[in-house]
Amino acid sequence: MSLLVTRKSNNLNSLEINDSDDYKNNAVVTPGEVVTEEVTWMKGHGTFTDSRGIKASLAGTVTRVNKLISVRPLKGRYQPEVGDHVIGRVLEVGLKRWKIEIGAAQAGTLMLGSINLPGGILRRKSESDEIQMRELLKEGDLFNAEVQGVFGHGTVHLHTRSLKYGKLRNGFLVVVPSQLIVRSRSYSHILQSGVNMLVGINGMIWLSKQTEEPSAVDTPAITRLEEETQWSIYSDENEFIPPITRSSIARYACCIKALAAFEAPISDSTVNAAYEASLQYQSETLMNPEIQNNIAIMALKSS
Amino acid sequence: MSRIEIFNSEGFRHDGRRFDELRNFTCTIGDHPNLDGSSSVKLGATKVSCMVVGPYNGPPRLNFSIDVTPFSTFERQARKNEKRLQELQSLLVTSFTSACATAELPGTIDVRIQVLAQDGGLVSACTNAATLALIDAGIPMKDYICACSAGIYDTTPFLDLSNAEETDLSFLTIGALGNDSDVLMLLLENKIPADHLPVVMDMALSGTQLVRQVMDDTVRYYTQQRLAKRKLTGL
Repeated sequence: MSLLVTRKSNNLNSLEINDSDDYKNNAVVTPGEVVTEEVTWMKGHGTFTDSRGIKASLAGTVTRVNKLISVRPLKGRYQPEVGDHVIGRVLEVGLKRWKIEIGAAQAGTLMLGSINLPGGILRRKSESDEIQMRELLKEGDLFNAEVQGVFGHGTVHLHTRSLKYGKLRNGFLVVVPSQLIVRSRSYSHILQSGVNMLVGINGMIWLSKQTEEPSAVDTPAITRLEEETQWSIYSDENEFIPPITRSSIARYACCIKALAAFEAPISDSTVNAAYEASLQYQSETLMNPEIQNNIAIMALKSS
Repeated sequence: MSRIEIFNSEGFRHDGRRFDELRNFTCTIGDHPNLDGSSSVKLGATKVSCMVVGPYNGPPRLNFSIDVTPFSTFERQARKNEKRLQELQSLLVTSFTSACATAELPGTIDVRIQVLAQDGGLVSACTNAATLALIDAGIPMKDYICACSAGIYDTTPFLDLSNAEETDLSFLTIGALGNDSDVLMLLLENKIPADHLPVVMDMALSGTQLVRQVMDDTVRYYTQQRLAKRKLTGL
């Protein structure tokens, strides 16, 4: 018994498809199911060939790009792409590099040469820098970075060569499934009551106290780089966070978790809407599954 | 022999089934939202839950661990036979390694199986639960590995034995890869007469097809639910 409906070419959504092309676009397939018997297709991710044609190896939806047919899973680990803004945690300090957990299948790598050293970008990386790597970033530290390159077998290189990136402090990390994150132009959002939200495409979200001077996101980075890149950006010391800011950070974290539990998209607008919706509840009750559900539904209705 | 009547003159087994009937088989996937993959399987009174973490940073490998809870049997047991569990673990590793193309995995995958209640069919319940949890985690597989047990009473083959039947009859468990009935796994722990073996194996294979149907319907249902929700929320 199959629940599949093969789309016919008279469907308006698939005008470009020829009559002979027998495949199921956007249909749900499960492992072992024949996606197409035609030999003209090229197999992409989530598929394999055997004697009966191209079969799915994942449960998900069928997508087609030109002659490439692939199956996209609805769940799975974060798959890094070049240019993604991610938040990571240092796993280990190695020789001229840090190993970073970014929630992908393989740990990311941050080279010593890919960070801003105190004293400016033009400074050469010397042996003394190698020795004091642990003073910059040590095991367990959180920071945001950009994916510089994705190499064979899933190796990921990161860089923090901008003042937008660096060590994170004064805040709280929330981890959600990466599929729920809505990709947008900006990843840093100023929320209500002095809370700043950094959204990593890998599903890690950093909620922190908004710093006094807004970070140098809008200013051209290079000119100010030398003055600004001080040891202070690698500081571990948290500033004083007023109780009211702490409680709103906690409330925002609960709202994000509520959206994630509902599998709702997570962006600044949905998070803000969820925050508004959550205000009618006491903060102690926000982890209650029913209330989480209500918050998510109200947030989706209003955003 | 126990006191129960294994097969009565009307052709019913002790729990009211015919010789070729499966027990009630239900499964759910994605019970643990914070894990990469999870599933739970109920096969009659046998209940197994499975959790998958990965692929995470490490060599391409599948790790299986089976945890039998002390309250899973009728009489509380502090320690289960470790050797038997280790054998089962290595059996699962071999079967799933060939179905998942493990060498091409991007990292290590941990599969943890928890046995919550046992009433026969432990191996098949564990295999089916692991299949579902791996599919939920988005690990590529050639097809479902579906397992089912079958035994023999006199000359009648029995499908899917309960605990009472397992203690009295000799039986085997087959794990088949999808519809093609490729046998990936065959476990026979006692003796079956050679001339009866094909009959029992056919019975078990027909059981795996029933199991596959239920598992496929479940995966399809959950995937479609999730897809519908994504469309609704505009993701």
